[in-house]
Amino acid sequence: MIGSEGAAVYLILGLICLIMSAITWVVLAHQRSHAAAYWCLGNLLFAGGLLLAWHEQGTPGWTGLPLANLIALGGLLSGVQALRLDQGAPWRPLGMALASLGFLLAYEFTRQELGQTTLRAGFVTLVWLLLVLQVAWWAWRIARRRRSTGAMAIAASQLLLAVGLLIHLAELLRDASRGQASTLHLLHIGFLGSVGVLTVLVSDVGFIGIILERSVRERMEAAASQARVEERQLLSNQLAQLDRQRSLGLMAASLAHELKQPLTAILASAQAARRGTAAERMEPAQSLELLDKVILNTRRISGITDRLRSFIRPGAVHSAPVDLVRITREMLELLQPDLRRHGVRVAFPAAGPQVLVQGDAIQLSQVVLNVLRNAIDAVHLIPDRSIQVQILRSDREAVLSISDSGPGLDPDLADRFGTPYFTTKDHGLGLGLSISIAILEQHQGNLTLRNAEGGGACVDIRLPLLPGGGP
Amino acid sequence: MDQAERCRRGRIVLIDDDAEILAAVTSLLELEGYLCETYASALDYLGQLGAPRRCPPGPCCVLLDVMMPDLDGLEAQRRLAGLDDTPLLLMSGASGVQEAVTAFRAGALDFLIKPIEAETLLEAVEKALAVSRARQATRARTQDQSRRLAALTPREHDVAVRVARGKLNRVIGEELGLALRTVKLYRQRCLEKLEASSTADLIRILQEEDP
Repeated sequence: MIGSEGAAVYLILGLICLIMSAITWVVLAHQRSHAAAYWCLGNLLFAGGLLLAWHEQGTPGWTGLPLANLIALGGLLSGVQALRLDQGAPWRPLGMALASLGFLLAYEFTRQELGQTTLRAGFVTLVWLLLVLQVAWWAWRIARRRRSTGAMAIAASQLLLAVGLLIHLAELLRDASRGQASTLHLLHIGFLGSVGVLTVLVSDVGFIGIILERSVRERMEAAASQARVEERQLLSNQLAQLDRQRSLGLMAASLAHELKQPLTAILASAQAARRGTAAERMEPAQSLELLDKVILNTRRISGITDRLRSFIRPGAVHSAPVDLVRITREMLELLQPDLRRHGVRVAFPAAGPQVLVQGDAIQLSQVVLNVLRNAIDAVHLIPDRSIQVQILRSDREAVLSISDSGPGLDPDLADRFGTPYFTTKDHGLGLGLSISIAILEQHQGNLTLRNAEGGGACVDIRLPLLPGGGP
Repeated sequence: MDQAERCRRGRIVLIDDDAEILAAVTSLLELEGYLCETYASALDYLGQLGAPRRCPPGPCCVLLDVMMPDLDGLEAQRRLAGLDDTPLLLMSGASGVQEAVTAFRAGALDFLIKPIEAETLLEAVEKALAVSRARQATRARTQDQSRRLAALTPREHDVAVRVARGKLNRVIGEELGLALRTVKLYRQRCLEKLEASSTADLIRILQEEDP
């Protein structure tokens, strides 16, 4: 401590610290982080220490300078902690408490055992100097990392204070070596006081700067990353839409056949009825039967076009409860022509109860369709063509497993499945699986590939179960 | 119209995995007096080929869908071609040129695109039945001739073969070590056994047998 001559300095500096602490707290009303709280607390404690030193100067024992010094030390530690917190490297509270205790013991030791005022003042000044250098060091780190002018101002002002304390320390050591009690000149007190005031003012303003800069940058980064997320979402939706159209393109031949079948029945029935009636060779009952066939097959066509339309519907993603059992069955129906054409048998044990998940029905249908298509492609050239579909549910998630009787996955290529543009098919684009994975990620789900016990490939689609999603 | 009359007019084997199509096309064909047999898969048809037929003999054709699960139409066509010469008509809803070319190369009589117009279907069926009739007639005649040729003794056969090559009776006699009179006798017996009206007829029969 400076000594009784510096009483006025304690008062002025203490008041300024108090005021700046309040100002900082008010200005940062909307950005009150832990760092800000530590900083303001630091100011407050430092102010408290100074004011106590001013009020209690000359008072012997605990309530005098030892307590004031301890409080001021807490303030400085708190200030360093604020900057360290900002950099994500805070001290542990226990460490800080032990350091304070150590300081107090050392202080008491110098006071009571040595009884030498000058040495004691030298010790305190040295501790302060180290802490001020800590503040300067951390402020400089922040300034360098973030190009923060506020932090640079803190570093500069704290360095100035450190210089002031160094000079003061030198004076104390000189006095001590001469065996004199420390008698400081007014000039010294004035210099140290001014530097202290300047440091407090600049540091507080600088700290406000750090926090505000940080807050602005965080908001900008948040906005930018939000924009990126939205852009990615939009792109992946468009990609998914294209993938659906491509799926339909691949199914075109089978779908044409699927539509031609009922059309053939309709045309033949209608023409038979017309010929029979025109030539009066037909009983009314028989022509009615033929007309019923026309109606039945027209409905068949209508069913096919409905399934198609609901699958290619473009537009926004619509999140709602989706029944996995239902969409799996629908996709199997959509693929029915392909399955029949390639003679692929599908085992889908009547999964009675519905299994509800949250998501976009069309996108999830697309995932199921992609995986089923892969399974068909895997088996369509081998003699035993079968696909197993199974839906299991645990407490939290639903697992849709689709396994095939194909050759299975090549373990050497395992890492590459699901990466965009990787394909093992002659006419594949290599997007189906990666789009499916992206869709599932958006639904907090995932997709895993493995070889089934029987040898074929098995794809597990996992999705979080809707709370109460099914009996 | 009774069954026998339908059989005489023509038996049409329909193979398609779609029951609705089988029913509708059957209505159309039965209205025109044909007999229809329907199968949901080519395997079903192939499986019963050896079984005895209730229908009296008559022209027959097969109308086969190309896109079927168990055994597709083109493969079925290959298998059927190895079994008999029943004319084949193929039909498809969404076939490319390639499938049609393959079908025609394998001897399909026509390739009908679904949905099929009644006129087109009936024309194609009538044409196929005509081909069937012609093939059956040829086969009957060939069988008849084979039977008659089998009635010749080896000596008579030797003579007949040489007559067919345009050799004179004298030359035949020298080659076979027969008297001219004996050659003439054998020649007369050949004409009788083969039911040939002239030497020219005999030559035709032998050429058909061993071209």
